[in-house]
Amino acid sequence: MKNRDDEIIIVNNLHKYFGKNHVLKGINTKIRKGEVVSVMGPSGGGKSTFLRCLNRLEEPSDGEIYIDGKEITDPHINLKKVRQEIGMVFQSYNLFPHLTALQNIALAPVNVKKKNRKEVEELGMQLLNQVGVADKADSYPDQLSGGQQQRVAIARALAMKPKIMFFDEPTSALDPEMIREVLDVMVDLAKDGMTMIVVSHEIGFIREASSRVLVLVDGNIIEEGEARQVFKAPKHDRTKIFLGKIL
Amino acid sequence: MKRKDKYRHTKSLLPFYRRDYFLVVSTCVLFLFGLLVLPDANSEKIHFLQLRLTFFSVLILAWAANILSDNLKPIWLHIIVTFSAIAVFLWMVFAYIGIGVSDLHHIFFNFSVMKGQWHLMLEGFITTMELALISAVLATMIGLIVGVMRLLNNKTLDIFLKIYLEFFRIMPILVILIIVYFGLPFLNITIGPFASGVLVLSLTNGAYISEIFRSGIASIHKTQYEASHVLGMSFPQTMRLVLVPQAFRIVFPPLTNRWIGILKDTAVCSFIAIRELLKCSQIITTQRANPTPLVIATTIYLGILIPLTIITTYLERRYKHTNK
Repeated sequence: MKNRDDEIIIVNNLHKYFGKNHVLKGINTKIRKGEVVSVMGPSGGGKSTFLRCLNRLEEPSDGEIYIDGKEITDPHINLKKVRQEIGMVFQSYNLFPHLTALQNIALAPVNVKKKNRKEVEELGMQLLNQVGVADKADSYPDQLSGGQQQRVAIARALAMKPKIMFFDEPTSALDPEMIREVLDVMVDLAKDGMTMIVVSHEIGFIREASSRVLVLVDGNIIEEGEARQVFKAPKHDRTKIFLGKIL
Repeated sequence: MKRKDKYRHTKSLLPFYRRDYFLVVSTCVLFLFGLLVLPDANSEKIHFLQLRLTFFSVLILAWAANILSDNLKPIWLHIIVTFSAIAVFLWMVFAYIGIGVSDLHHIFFNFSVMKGQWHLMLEGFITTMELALISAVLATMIGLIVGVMRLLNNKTLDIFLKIYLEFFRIMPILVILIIVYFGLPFLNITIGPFASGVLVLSLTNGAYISEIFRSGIASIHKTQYEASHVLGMSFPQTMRLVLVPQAFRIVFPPLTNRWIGILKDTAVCSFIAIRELLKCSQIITTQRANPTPLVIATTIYLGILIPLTIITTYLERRYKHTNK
């Protein structure tokens, strides 16, 4: 197969079973560099599983995934190297509770990329500034609000200088007034040209920032297209029902 | 007025044994019983002395328990009751068993027997501390390594580790010590007494500590693994940088308890001729036919262990605070 150079993620016929439960039923999609792809769909539709298969937090049962030209479903691939290229932000932030915000950010670049601690901390402060929590650099996660924790988590992922960012329902655990501050950071990232896959139901964000929407229902992509297009004139009945519930 | 009414009301709800008059009556009854049951200590022959003393002791205990379990009674009353009960017991011991205060002093606090022996006590103290420290360090290392290996979930490895764990947790430590020190030489494996002590103490406690570490690390949420995996960390890095530091906070209280346990376990080593604190005090006790060295040893054990326990409790509270 000939890949176009700017296609950074290629998913061919991705299947995932949890025991007998068939969660992903043959996903095919291509994502180009700089695209911001939002993944929507009812809960249990396989959105998170899809995302987690892309960096092999879940082992795909069948199919191939290419990231930046490398087949990551190959059992002999150096998974650590691949994962360094992909930042991931979780619903529950998952900061390291025994480290301060800045230490959280510096941990992986210093120990995995073997970078100079001083440089990394400078970068860390810069990133904290970018996400607007520079004053909390020396606070521990339990001293931060949910929104602040999530922004630190984004900075932590960015510190590895990834080519792609995954967001797995980054605002679902947040109070309404904190959602905005996290989304703002994500919108800025999108504008800077980061390739992003975002599992989210934040319509505002999807409209504003995403170049494409995937609607995932029962393990299939039933609708795929530009955000405005999907919201305005969904092709599939199931999409209409789903959008009717969240709009 | 109102307040007094309320007081009276609650009082009327009290069961009889909680009321004030019961306290007075029971104290008087106790006093009468004392006069009745306890004979003159100087009389030649007393029938059923032990029975009488036991009976009266039970009465006093019941009386004290009834009052001390009542939270409505003022604290000063609790204190008076506690001390008078202790006083009565001491009086019974002195009066009927025939040991006077001066005898006590002569037997248990006879420091003259210690003349020229203090260096032996010091030697014992140092040996005990050496045993405890070296064993604690080794046991913690063994525990950490075994605990982490258990988490690899390798079935074959697990069988061997389980055998190690279960053997050392089931066997009494003294039995293992004797097997190592007196049994192994028959296989031409001779280990010196101090080395045997350290070996057994660290292996036994390593087994316990590995379980502490294993459960501590296992209790960390799996999202922490995921967070470190997506940052590209390897398993050893995840262990060293993320899981173990967090586990240390969780395992710290049980771990320090185990360290204290090791210090206490060192006393077992007196059995294989290690001249540690207990052995040394025993040597002097036998030589001088006087238990004062044992009293001194007890004091030293308490002197180390009480502060350690207090520090542990303090740290426990502090870590609990920072962790949540």
